[in-house]
Amino acid sequence: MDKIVFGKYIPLDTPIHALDPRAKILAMLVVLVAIFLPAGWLGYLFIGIAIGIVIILAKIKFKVILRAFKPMMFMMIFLLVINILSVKEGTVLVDFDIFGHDFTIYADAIFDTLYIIVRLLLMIMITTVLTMTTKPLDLTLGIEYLLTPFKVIHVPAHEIAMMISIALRFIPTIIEETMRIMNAQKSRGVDFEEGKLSEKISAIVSLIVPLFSVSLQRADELANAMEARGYAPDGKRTRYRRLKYAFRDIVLLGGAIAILVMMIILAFVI
Amino acid sequence: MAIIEVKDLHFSYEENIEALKGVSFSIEKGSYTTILGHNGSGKSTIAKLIAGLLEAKSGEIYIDGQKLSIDTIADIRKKLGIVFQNPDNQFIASSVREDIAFGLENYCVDPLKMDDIIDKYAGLVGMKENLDKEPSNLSGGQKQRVAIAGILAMHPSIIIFDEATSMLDPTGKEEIKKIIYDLHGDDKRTILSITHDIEEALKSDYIIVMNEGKVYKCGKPHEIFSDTKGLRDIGLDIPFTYKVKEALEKEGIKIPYTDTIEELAEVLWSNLKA
Repeated sequence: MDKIVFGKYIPLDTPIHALDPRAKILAMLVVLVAIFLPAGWLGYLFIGIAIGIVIILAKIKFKVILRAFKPMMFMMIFLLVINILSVKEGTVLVDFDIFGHDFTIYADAIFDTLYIIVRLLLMIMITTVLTMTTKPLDLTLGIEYLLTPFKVIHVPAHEIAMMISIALRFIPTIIEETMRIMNAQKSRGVDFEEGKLSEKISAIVSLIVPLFSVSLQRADELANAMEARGYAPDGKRTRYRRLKYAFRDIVLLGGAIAILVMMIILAFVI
Repeated sequence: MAIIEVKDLHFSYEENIEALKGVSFSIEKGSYTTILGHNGSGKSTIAKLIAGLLEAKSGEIYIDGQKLSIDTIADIRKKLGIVFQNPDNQFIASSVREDIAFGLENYCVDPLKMDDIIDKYAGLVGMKENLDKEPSNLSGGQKQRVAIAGILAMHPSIIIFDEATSMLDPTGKEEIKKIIYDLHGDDKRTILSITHDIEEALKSDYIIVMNEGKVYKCGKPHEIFSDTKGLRDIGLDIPFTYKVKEALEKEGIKIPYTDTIEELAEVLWSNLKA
């Protein structure tokens, strides 16, 4: 569990941690849009430097960020293979023969893959920084605040935020429950690591069925506890935690917008 | 004056299988009442019906003179709080502070007043030092104390403990039991505790014994536990001091009823001296 980096909050006292979650979410969305613009390598270098500065200010070690890339390795290799097989444009880099079949790797295949990978890495970096510097509860509070104007078009802002908050709250509990069920099944002879595919599927079923049953029971009890404490999804409530924008949040949003403008210029003007 | 009145309550989870078969009882204001019974006797169902979490098939429930119905449920819930069995499944927020605030938010308490209320009730249950802790860093007993603080913050006059100590270790059990006794003794709140714990029941003012969805017996602890045969017939245990009295009586030695080991030791010592 400790190896899971993506989404894990690191409690530190830094200017990035102190930012308003709404400002962080909005800045992340603006930079994500900027990443999707075809601004070229110079643009991505610029975004990379900007994110790097944020990582340094947040006192997050780069090796921790690198660990967040690990789960994406398979996807990156898969992308490379697909591109090598499908892209047939650009300079020929390698041309060889496998079992009588001519096999060519073009420069554009590698270039396109690198382009996507860099975009992916920048996206992972920025979302990881957001989740590492923002408490899950602040994140959901930020989402609720940002969705509030959409209530006029019947977007259930509070319900969405409450669902996310409860899901985040129960992740450790469900992981603990999974471990407990796995150990109970192992003690009955179920092997989750070895065996044929059919045996592995049956082992997973023996884990999933009780886990679902326990989780549904948990959800029922939680709903009772919430109702007993006066919670009504459509009822009027006050908020214990209130968010207030500060000057540093305006600086962050200004920086994000500047990046977006620069990417638009690089992509469409220059 | 009765603060809780239950009249001829019927309830079924499944068709044709009645969990409650005409349950009636009343609970006095400021009293400490325990509901005893083996698994499936309908104890927890009663708690959920009183809290308005389940709807009875027939029968009536009055809380502080107000009949429980869809129209009155919101008002009635302000008068009672319920602490459930599993400490994990009632910890809603991501920190102790936020969890205590949850009920206050639902009752539209001014956010500026919340910190003082949270501090007061967290202090009352000995959790003031842990206000920023996450649930994963708390023991079962601590989580249960947070649940109690969250309920106390809403100022209910009745608190229901639905087997609130059954999933805790011995230390956690003792901590929660002490809070229950203090709430009754110092705060004079009405306590309704659904429990398997015979020793806890012995300390209550009244006991309601449930069996197969019916009230088997109601009364003061002495009246209930003196019926040792009846209790054993319905699968319930009796307190240690009552077992000793029973065993001595078989040998022809008569001693009065005692509630604690200390009282029993004193009685035995006086008998020996005499």
